[in-house]
Amino acid sequence: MADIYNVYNILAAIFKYIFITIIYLFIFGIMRMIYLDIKKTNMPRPRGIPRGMAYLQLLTDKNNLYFEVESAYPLDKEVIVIGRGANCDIVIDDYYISTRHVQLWSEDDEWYIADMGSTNGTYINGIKMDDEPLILDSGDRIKIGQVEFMAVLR
Amino acid sequence: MISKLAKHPINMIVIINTLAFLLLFFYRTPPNYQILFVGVSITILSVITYLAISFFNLGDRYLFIIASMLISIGVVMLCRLDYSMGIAQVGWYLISVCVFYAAYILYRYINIWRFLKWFYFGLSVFLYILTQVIGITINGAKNWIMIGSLSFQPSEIIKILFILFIAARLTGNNKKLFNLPENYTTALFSFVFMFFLILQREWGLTLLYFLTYFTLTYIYDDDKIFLLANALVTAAVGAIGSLTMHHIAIRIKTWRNPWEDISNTGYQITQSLFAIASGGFFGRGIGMGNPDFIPQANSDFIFSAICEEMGIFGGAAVILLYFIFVYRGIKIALLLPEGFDKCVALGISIMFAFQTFIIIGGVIKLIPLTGITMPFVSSGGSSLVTSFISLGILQAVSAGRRQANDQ
Amino acid sequence: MTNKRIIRTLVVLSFLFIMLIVYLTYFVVFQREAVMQSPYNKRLWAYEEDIERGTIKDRSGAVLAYSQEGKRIYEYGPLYCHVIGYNSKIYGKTMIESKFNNLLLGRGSVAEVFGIGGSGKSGYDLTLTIDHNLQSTAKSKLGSRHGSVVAINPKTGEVLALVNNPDFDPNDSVLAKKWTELTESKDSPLLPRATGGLYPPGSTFKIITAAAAIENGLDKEEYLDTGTVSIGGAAFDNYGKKANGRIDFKKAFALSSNYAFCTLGAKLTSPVLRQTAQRFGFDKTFDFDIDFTRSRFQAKDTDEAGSAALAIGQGETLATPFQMALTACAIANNGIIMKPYIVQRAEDKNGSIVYEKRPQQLYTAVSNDVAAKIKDLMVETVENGTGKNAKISTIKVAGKTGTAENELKGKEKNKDHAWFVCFAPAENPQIAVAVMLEYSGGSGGELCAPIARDIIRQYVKKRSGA
Repeated sequence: MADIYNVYNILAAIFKYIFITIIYLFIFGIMRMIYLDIKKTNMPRPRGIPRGMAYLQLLTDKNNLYFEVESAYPLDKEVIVIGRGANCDIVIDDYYISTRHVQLWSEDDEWYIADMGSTNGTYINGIKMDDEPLILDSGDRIKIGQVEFMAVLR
Repeated sequence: MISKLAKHPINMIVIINTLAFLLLFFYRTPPNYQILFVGVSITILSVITYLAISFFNLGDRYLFIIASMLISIGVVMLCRLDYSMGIAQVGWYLISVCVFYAAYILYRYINIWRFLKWFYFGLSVFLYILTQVIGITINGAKNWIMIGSLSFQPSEIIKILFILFIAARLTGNNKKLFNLPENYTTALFSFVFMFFLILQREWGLTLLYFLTYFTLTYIYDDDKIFLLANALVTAAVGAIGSLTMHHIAIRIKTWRNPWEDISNTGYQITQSLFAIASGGFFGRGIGMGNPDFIPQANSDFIFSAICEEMGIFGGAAVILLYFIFVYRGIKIALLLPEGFDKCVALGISIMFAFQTFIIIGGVIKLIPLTGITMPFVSSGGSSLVTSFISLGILQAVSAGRRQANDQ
Repeated sequence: MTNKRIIRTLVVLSFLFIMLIVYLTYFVVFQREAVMQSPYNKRLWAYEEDIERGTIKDRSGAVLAYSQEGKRIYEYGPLYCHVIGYNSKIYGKTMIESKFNNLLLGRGSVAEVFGIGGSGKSGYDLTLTIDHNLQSTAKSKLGSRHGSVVAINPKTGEVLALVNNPDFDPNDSVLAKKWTELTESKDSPLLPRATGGLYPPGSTFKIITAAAAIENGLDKEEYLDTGTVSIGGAAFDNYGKKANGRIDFKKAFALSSNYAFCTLGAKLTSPVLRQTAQRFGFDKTFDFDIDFTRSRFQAKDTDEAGSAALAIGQGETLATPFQMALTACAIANNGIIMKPYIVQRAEDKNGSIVYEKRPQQLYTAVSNDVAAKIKDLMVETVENGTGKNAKISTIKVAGKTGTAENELKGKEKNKDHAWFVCFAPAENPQIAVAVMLEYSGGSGGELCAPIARDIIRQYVKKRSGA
């Protein structure tokens, strides 16, 4: 009885430091993730993209991908097709991306997006889009396959 | 190694639950196996919900995980105080998670919420009146309804109705009523909510409603004179109230010097201060303190119990958890386009913030003590379910609704 | 526009959260101790119920206070009520029980701060510097008379005995029964007279006046003592208006001539007297093992008559018996007052020492030369002066008597406070004693000196015997 009580005392005394450490590590972890999020949304304009031009900013960590992908793609044409096929405007060799996956086009000062019947679909801000084209807002997140972009349209 | 672990906060929750419930398992002799059951169920619930949120892309991934950390801390504390309370809380957690999904789906996929302002108001008034008619009195306030063997506090649910009502008024088109400007009628109806709370002597909730209403008005209403008038009228009512109403005067007097009438009005707050003082920086260790000396240690005063056994480092951690939760909520609101959803997200975040401030500030004697629960941590079904409905709505809002299609 | 206001709101909310953390930290850093020690804190007693409070022993190991089944038992009843104090759930803690509470509960070590281990379930034992036999003797010699005895080892500062009359039984059961009586009694038994009672020091203050006189070269003069002297329009009488005739400084001290010392006081002036008294510890305080009251010189710039009164320990000057014992210590220890202490050490149940006090200097009152000269004066006082009753054939005692007028009026006016301060053996002092009998109506020489003599005899004999 007494022994168990003593063991408990010592355990409780040691554990309290462990608890506090873990809770703070947890807070640190969350803050770090939030910080990375903010950093992404406030990324400086990538090099090589002129002022005033819309572009797609890569959000996925490049180091986790086995294929080549740029950290930013300028939207420098009226119509841009993204896919695995070599004739696309933006080529990404991701197994989960269809040959011609998604299409972006500009019309009356707005950018539109439409899925081109891809196998795995296109997610806008986390929601899988249907066949209807959508108007893109600046800051919208576009996920295709394993990569996620943010549209910067200012 | 540490930074790698920190990359996945869900791991932290699993570790802390494992350690804490193993420790609690040995706390009483003979060891109580129900504690292990509690620990396992709470961990499974948290992990599954977290995985569901990230796997199905159900919106923001931080809100729920912060809430589940708070739940863990709360349940550990409750189990330590009285394990039957801990078991009940885990039961409520299970119900709350279901309610969370329900709220998420209802809010996200049914897009009628912005039009129901009179429903919110009517339902609230109905619930208030129901409480007054069939309510029972617990701890000196008639604000509970018994359904079967479950007691239930309507004023908790009304918090959400209140936010939805205000958001609908502030962001929708309102018909002119009583020939008054829109914002005056909004104020009028908001004060009706508060009036019922005053009838129930729920000072803490009254303050919470007012601060939420006031902050949202500040954000959405350009009429500075109206805002000032609001503040002045409230200050005047508050001043008159503190002079004429015995209950408020006592609270302020106790806040200023709780030691004067220590055995009576100052009893709760001084017991809370004793607990925090004896905890010191690192606390006395779980199971090593005497939080059972604190009145209502399971609900309003659970923060003092946490401070006693986990120290003010533990207490500050809890405050920080609430802070990043609120920060995240407001961040979500910031990124949303103008509209009802944005206002709801703001209202929920702001209400969480003020609720934590009022209760923690109260038990540490920073502000006068008014009893309200600590979201996610205090025991009690109504509070937990309400918090999770709010969380579900916030989660749905963060997942987004395609505004391009709607407009 | 909305977003700007939302960010402002976020800033305000952040501020509120930071305030919570800041206030919490402030509370724990600055208010924690005071709140914890509140007698209303049930935790204090809860901790203590788990811990067996440490035992308190005298210097040779005799148990003075111990705990049994959660009850505090004071072996010798009232004898140590003003040293150890009491430990009561209802009335709180006093004296050593209060000041050394943490050690008695086994707290205060580094491990304890971090909450690891601590000392488990028993507190630390305290060993005092008090000599139980001496304490008992002092008590029995005081008998039923109201007053105090303080005995200190002048070379180390160890307090050997500290007795007051009237006293009370600190055992909890007795305390509960008699509390109202104790607090309302006219005799104030709860007052620790030796450390907390302020009395005019009377002629014992002449030790300090003599120090000032020697330092200012006024020790060569002769006086024609007629029993009464008039200074600045006020008349000062010797004790019993006794005329001592032609006397030198030494004789004046030994016979406690007010005639001579009032004359000296007027010449020295009150600022010089105050400055000298302060070197002996008047108007000052320090950290002692039990709380004590500061002795007061008080008077600032007085006229001649005022200075004359101060020189013989009358006027506004007030001293505790404890202070007068320290005054004797200064002379005994070549002018240096060692810091007094009562708790020698604390040890845990395994006998390892967790707290220990070592002798340390407190004040330098006078120079070695001055101390030696005053020692001669005090020896003469016991040999051939007013302190004859303290004479011991085998031990050379140095002392000074005092008989101080009280503040009462009318019939009670005759009830003087009697004083005797001394140390022995003069050539190698081992003990300094101050004896004070309040409102005794007699002189220090006839009433107090015999008590001091018996204490010295017992202590020095035991020492040389061992």
